[in-house]
Amino acid sequence: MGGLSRPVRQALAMVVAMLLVALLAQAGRPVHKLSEQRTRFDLEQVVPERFGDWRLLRAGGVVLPDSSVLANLQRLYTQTLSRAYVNSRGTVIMLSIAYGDDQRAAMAVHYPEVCYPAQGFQVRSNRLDSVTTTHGTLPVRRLETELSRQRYEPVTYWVTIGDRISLGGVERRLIELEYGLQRIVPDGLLFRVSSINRDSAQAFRDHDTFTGDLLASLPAASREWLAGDPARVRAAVPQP
Amino acid sequence: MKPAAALQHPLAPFGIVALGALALYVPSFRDLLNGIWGTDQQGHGPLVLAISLWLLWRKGPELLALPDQPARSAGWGCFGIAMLLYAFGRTQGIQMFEVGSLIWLVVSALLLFRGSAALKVVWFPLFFMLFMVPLPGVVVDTLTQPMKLAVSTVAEWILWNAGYPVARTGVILQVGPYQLLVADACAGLNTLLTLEALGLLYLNLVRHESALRNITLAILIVPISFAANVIRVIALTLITYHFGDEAGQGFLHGFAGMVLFMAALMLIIAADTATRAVVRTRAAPAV
Repeated sequence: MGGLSRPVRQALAMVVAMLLVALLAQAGRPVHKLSEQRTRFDLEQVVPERFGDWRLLRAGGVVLPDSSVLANLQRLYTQTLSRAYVNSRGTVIMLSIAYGDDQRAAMAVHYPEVCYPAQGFQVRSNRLDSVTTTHGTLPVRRLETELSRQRYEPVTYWVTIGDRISLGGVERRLIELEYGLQRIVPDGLLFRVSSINRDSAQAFRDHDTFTGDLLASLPAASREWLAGDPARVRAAVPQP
Repeated sequence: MKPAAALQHPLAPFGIVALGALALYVPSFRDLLNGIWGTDQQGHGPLVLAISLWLLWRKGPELLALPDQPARSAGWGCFGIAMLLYAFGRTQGIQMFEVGSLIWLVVSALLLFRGSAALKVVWFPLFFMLFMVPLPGVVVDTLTQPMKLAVSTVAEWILWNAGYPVARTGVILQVGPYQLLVADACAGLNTLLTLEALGLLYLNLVRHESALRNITLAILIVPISFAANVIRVIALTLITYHFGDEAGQGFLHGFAGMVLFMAALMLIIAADTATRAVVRTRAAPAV
C-alpha cells in the first residue's frame, strides 16, 4: 500500500469514517413509534357525544383550514375531529382535535396562532395559563381572536408530545430530543376549544368547565391520550 | 504493488470521497424525495442539488490548476463537523443538519486535497447548495404567513380597483361566487427562495463584471418574487372568475405556476436592463 499518495490515503480514511457514521446513523434512527405502542384510539369514538351537561350540536362552524389544504392536513395529521357542543344554558363550545403519529420537527401539529390569522382572524392576546381538572392542572395557552370586529372567538388550547403537554419553544425541542435519543418517534395532538363570545373571561371559564367535564367523563387511558400523563404533565406547568 | 493509474489522477481523492458519500446521502435523499422534496413547497431541492454538482464539476479543471497546499487541520475539522451534523440530523429527524452536512463535507475535501484557495474557486456552487437545505418548519411558517397575507392584500387591492367583485378575509379571496385560498406553495418563502436561487444562477452564468449591478439585481429579486406572486394570484383569481372553479384548480393552476416563473423571468430581465443602463450612465464620466 506504500504506493498510495497521501491524499488517496486520506480519502480512504474519510470513506471508512463515512461508512461508520452511515451505519451508526442508521442504527440510531428512531424505530419505536409511540403511536404503535398505544392502544388504537379513534377520536370519533373516544370523545363522547354526550357528557356532563354537554351534548353534540349538529351544526358545525368550527374554524378549519380550507378544503384545498386538506391534502396537506392528511399528510400532517393521522386523525382530526371537529365538533360543536351545547349545554343546557345554551352555551356553545367548539372542540377541535388534531392527532399526528409523528411529531418530529417537520411534521408537528400547527399552532392556532398560525392558523387563525390565515383565516383572517387577528390574535389580540396570547398568554400562558392553566386549567385545573380532576386529571390534574394542565398548562394551556389562551388566545383572544377576532374576525373583522364581528366574530370574537377566545381560544384555549394545549399540545401534547408523547405523554407530555408542551406549549412550544425550547422545552418542546428538549422533549423531542429526549424521545429521539431513546429512538422513539413521539406522537401528539392539538386539543383546542373555542367559543364565540365577546366576554373573554366568561368564555375561558366555559372552556375550563367544558374541558374538565370532558376529561372527567373519559376512562384513564383516553384521558392520558388527550391530555398527557398527569404525573409528567404537572411538572411542566408554567409558574405564574 | 502498483496502484492503478486511476488512483494517481489528481482528482482521484475527490472521486473516492464522493463514492463514500453515497453511503451517507443516498438514504437521505431517498427519504427527502419521498418527503418534502416531493411537495410543491421544497420541490426545488433536487434541482438545486443537480445544478450545484454540475457547477462543481465545471470547476474541475480550475481546481486541478491550483497548487497543492492542503489545509489539513481545517479540513479534518470540517469533516468532523459534517459527520456530527449528519449523525445528529439523521437520527433526530433534523433535515437542516442532515442535508447541510453535505456542504461541510465538500468543504473538507477541498481543504484536504487542494487547500483554501479551492474554496475561493468554488464559492458560488457552495453558496448555491445552501438553497437545497430544508429550513425548519417553524421558520418557514413564521415567514410564509405574513408574505401570504401581503400577497393576498395587494392582489385584492388591484382586483378591486380593476372593478372585480372581490373581498378578502385573511388569505382567503372571495371573487364572485368563488372562494380561493392563497396556499403556502403559491406565495411562500420557498417560492421566494427558488426564484432567488434561479436569479443568482442567472447572474452567475451571465457573469457581469460590475459588482454593483450584481448586488442590485440580487436584492431586486426579492420584490420581483413578491410581484410575480401577486401576478400569479391575480391570474388564478381571474381564471377562476371567468372560467370557473374547475379551470382554476385543474390544468390552469399549473399554467398559473408557469405565469409566476415567466413573470419573474421577465421582471428580472427588465431589472437587469434597467440596472445596466444606470451602471453605464454612472460609469460614462469616468471613461
